[in-house]
Amino acid sequence: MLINALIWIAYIGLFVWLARKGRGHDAMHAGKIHFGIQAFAYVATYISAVALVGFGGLAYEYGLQMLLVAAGNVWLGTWIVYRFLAWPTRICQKRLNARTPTQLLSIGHHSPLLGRFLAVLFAVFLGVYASAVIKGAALLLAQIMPVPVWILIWLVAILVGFAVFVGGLRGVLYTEAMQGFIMLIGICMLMVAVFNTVGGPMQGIELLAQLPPTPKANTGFVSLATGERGWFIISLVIVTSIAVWAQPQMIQRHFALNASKQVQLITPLAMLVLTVLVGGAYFVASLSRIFLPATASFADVIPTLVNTLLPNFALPLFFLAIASSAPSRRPASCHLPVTAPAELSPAKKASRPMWFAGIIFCILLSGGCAQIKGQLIALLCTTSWSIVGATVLTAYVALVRFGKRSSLAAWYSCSAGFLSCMAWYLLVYRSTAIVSPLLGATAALIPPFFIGFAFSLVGWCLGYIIEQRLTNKALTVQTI
Amino acid sequence: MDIFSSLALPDAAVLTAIVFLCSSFFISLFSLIRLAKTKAGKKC
Repeated sequence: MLINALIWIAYIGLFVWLARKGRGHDAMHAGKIHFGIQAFAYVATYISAVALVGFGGLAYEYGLQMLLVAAGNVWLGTWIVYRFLAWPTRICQKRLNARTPTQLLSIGHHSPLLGRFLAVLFAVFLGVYASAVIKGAALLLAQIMPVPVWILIWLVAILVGFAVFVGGLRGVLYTEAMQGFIMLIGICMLMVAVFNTVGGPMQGIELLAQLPPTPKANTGFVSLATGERGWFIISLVIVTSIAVWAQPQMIQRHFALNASKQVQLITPLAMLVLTVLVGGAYFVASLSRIFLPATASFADVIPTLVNTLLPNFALPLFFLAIASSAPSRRPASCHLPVTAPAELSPAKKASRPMWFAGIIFCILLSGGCAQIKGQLIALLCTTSWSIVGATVLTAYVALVRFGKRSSLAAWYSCSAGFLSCMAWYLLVYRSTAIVSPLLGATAALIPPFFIGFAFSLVGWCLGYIIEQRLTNKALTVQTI
Repeated sequence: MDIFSSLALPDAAVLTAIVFLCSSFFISLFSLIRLAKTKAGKKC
């Protein structure tokens, strides 16, 4: 009991101390940040409670094929991002004097109206997405705290609001880094415990291979499933590894880069930490199939593993580690919605009252949404990444990687990506269609991000061609 | 041959994922060590 209390006090004390590191800085600027902090912050922003607990549960059901998701996250979601996007984003942001990802896109594409549209989009979808993450944290904390879940939801929301209010972007980076580090310790502890139980990783794979196939892991637990199930895994790889490129909270991480050399240090560290975290979590969750009886919900797998395998003193530490991924994700997701009111302000610094109002809005939105029961939240959570990614990805990559700036193309691309992705979710995609899927059973399996991205790409090309022709015409008229 | 026949190897896709994860682990670890050595060398 005493040890638990000490761990809690130390955790909260460290959190507050780190959050205060951002005091005195513009809430939207990080200033100079050590590469280690940036690497851990990137990982913690990437991985959420949803990923570790939810995808860990999926690994229990689908087996080792979930390692494809982990490998995708490490190579596509981290290596490619730092190799091709991070530094160009920083240069572009510096040149345009943009304070937020929204401003980067609106100034970059000469369209203030696009900035307003994106500010609203990010505020709504990230705010609501954050609610799902908060709920994940609250449910986990409920395992070690005898407090009703609805109170825990508000506690987590307020804790995160505090971190964002006191520290701004700089405080958020420090608290995230701390939580990424705690997550790493937690997963390492779990890996040791599971390997001890199954007799090591190789022995575990052999035992896993002997298990009979199930409807989900229809070719067994050490191979990629066939048909719909296999495509589900592939789509998960794409959505979690490529849609992430254009998530504003991830784009914002690149704003803290000081020099191109820093990228060389951040990349291996972030990849190393992510490999252990995600690869380790999915691997042990798959192996748990050998000794863990079927659970009622796949979200129970990781908590059950922890409760049965780890020693008593390690329980609060582990739950803090996993639950930490929610507050860490939350400041990242919360910081963006909070900046929305400031997007409309020409002031150089976000004023304190404006900042405070944004935080209250964010706490109420995500804390309130988190109180809603189950399905709606899960739906909003899975859709938000795809919708934001499909809307922004093309315009973002075109701007920072290829230096293409076009108001018309950006508008066509963002609106085509947003509308097609939304329409696909509402009318075609099997799990979310509000009517019976319109385009048949095969189309109902295609993930909306794919459709949204394809439309966004077509929209960009169309807008770019039209703008080029209009410009040429205008030049011709001027010459005449 | 006996060793290989007794091992239950994962299929190609899962094996690829494992290889990618292992390579990311070792490549990034060695990169960090190399960078640390370079930094230490510069300080000396």
